[in-house]
Amino acid sequence: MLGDPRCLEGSRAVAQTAAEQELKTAHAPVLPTSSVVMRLLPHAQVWFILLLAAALWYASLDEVDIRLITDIGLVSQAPPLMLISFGILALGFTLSLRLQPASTLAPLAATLLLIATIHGLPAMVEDAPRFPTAYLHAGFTDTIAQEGELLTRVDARFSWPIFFSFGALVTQVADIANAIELQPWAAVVNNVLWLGPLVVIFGSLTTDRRQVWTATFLFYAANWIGQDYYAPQAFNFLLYLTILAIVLRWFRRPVVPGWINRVVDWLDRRHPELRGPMRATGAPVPPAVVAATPGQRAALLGIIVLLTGVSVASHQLTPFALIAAMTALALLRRTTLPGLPVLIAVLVGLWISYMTVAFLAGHLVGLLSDLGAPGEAATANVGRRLTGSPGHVFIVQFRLVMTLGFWLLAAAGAVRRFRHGHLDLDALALAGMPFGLLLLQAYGGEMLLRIYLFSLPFMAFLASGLFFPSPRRLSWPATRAMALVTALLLIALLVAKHGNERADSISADELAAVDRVYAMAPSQSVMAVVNTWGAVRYKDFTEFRYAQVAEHFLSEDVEALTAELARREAPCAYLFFTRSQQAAAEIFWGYTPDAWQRAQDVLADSGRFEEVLSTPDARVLLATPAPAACR
Amino acid sequence: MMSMGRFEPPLLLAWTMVAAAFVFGDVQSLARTMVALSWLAFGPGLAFTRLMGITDVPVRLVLVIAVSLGLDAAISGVLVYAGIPSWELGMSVLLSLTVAAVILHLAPPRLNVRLGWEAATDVRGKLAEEPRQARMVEALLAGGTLADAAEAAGVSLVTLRRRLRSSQALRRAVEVASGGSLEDLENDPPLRESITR
Repeated sequence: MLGDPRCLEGSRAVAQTAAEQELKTAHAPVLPTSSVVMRLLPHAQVWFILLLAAALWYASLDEVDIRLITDIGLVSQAPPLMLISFGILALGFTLSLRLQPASTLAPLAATLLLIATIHGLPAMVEDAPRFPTAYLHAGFTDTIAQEGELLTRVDARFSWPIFFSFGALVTQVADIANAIELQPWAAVVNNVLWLGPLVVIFGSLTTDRRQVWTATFLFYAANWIGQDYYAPQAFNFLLYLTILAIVLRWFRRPVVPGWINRVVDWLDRRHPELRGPMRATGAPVPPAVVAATPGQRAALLGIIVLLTGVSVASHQLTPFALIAAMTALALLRRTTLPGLPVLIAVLVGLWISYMTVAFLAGHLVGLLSDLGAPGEAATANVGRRLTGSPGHVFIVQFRLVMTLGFWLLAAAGAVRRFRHGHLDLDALALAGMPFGLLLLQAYGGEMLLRIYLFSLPFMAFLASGLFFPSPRRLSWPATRAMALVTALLLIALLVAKHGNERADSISADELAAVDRVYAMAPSQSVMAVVNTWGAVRYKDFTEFRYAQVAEHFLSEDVEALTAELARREAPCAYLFFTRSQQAAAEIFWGYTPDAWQRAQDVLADSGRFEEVLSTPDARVLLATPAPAACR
Repeated sequence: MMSMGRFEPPLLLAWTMVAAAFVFGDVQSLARTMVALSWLAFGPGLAFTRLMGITDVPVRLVLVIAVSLGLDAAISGVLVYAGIPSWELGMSVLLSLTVAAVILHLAPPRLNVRLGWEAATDVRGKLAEEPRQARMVEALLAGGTLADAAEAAGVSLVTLRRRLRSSQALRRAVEVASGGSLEDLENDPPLRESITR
């Protein structure tokens, strides 16, 4: 712990040892060729293992048939070879941390391989961009690109439009027809973009490079949340991480408040067994705050303000997470910018007060109703998700277990580091503070997911302490344990992250069907869907009108459905049934394939609809009577 | 690009001109997409972070991407709210800001246009490199002596003493590492002795 003379004593010893080692390395005699080979052999072994993992994974892709996946997602189609490749990847990563001299490239390559093989897996096995919300975001982007308008009364997200205007700029400057073309590789790109800030953050929390890379790897291995698609939250997570990286690297106070020292001393007196004899073994040297000139500090502060401003104007939740994180650091007096949370709060207040009036006018009561009601938020975030098909319920339960398991791993890591004389105050505060967001509201049942994401970097850091509580070399038993834990995590990630893939994947056939209807439909026609899973709305957002008719469709109430469509007074009304909609109805609401097919047949045979399109993955009905221009 | 020293400004200018030519020449090819995307992700940030004098390449890369994307997003948003959502204008503003930042950096130091952001360069030689400074501060933070700090930074003790006398930035680094002021530090006899000797 900083300021603890016992710890400093240990740190001094470590620094001395490190310096001695460095001196030895510097003055090492020229080695004979055989010795050089012996030194390079472990490096070659690690690279061979990583290449083998990549090759096996690539070879296994041929066996994945996305059309055959079940309600438990991609893992149902994952061949054994793929699972073996994840185990080999975990082994390669773990061995890369034992290399002498230490390698940066090998753990970096292993981390990039993890991103590509698991987070980028859908892009390799699916034939069209995935995830319905990404299509909606592409539609928002397309609206701004084509019309330059903010439809603040149509969707709340237009009141925080900067991400979409940014997307519009990018697509037009880069000559990309529609933002949905960015989606296939969005997960890989976003995860790679997060890598830099993560390494800087972890490098500000420890000087042990092995722990830095372990925390990074664990972050990606435990990030099943899936908020890495084409979305404002993915972009904002980059901003969140970058701001934290700047604050922790340049604006951190390496001083532990007196009251925490007193608590630790009290603990030492009352429960000496907590740290016991290990406290003097030498914790990793606490990392330095990097010195900066006043000009550099001013520029860095300017970057923080720029990124905060962009975040405030592009996402509803991230600025609150930033306020929580900065407040935690300020309350613990761990930052030289104690006014930063106030500044962010002022920016958020100004934005909400002046720029989101249209949204607030209709939603203020609903927004305030959850305030300070964590019970309601928890119910919305957990209880209401435990429904659907048996396979889906298994996936939700699996995610809960994985989440709790990872938090337990983090707790164990924090305790182990503490027993070795190191109190990771910043990581503990930043891991815990996002849970305060539960007091805000349920966030459409997604708040716990977001809290998990915001706290994940620091949970991963704490969990890494389980393997690297001290600067000593990883023993072989510890190496085996680490390889096993990371391998299990990678397989668990495949299950948890891609557990909804049957509904989240959109086939090229579905997308083509949407395009064909877009091409034939007159302006201001109604595009009706059973649920929002699918590709509808990804372009020409204002050209057509949209309706969701789940209730009438699933109750097979033809009269009510036709009345609902007629009420829109549109020239034509199209009703979409797609593979992904059906999968979502079965997975999330527990409908059987028979019920879905029967409801379609009832509509088609009612004489009130005419089939205008039928493909393997899509069927489109047109409400009749309809003018000839509708066909 | 990140560590090309004096070649960086002309290379960045050339890259900026190529990006402008592809975009405003309305070239429709994969090359335009690649050049434009890469420039939007790195170009503006490279120009602005160079003014800050941060030499640690990975850390600078983090700032480069954040500043580039932040500026792109901010400018696109301002234009939409201003009622002029023109990508040509947005790109023009970004190109102009980038070129201005590069020119600002190329201007003679006596014009003092760098706003003192490169004051760290008053630490000359090896110690101007941020990783060395970081290692030095780490050694001090771990309770090491000035000799430990010099060894960690890979310079001689004589050099470090000389730089400490001449460099406010370095003294500031030592202050931060000690968690107190230089006065506190000077009350520590061994350090005071080594600094003032």
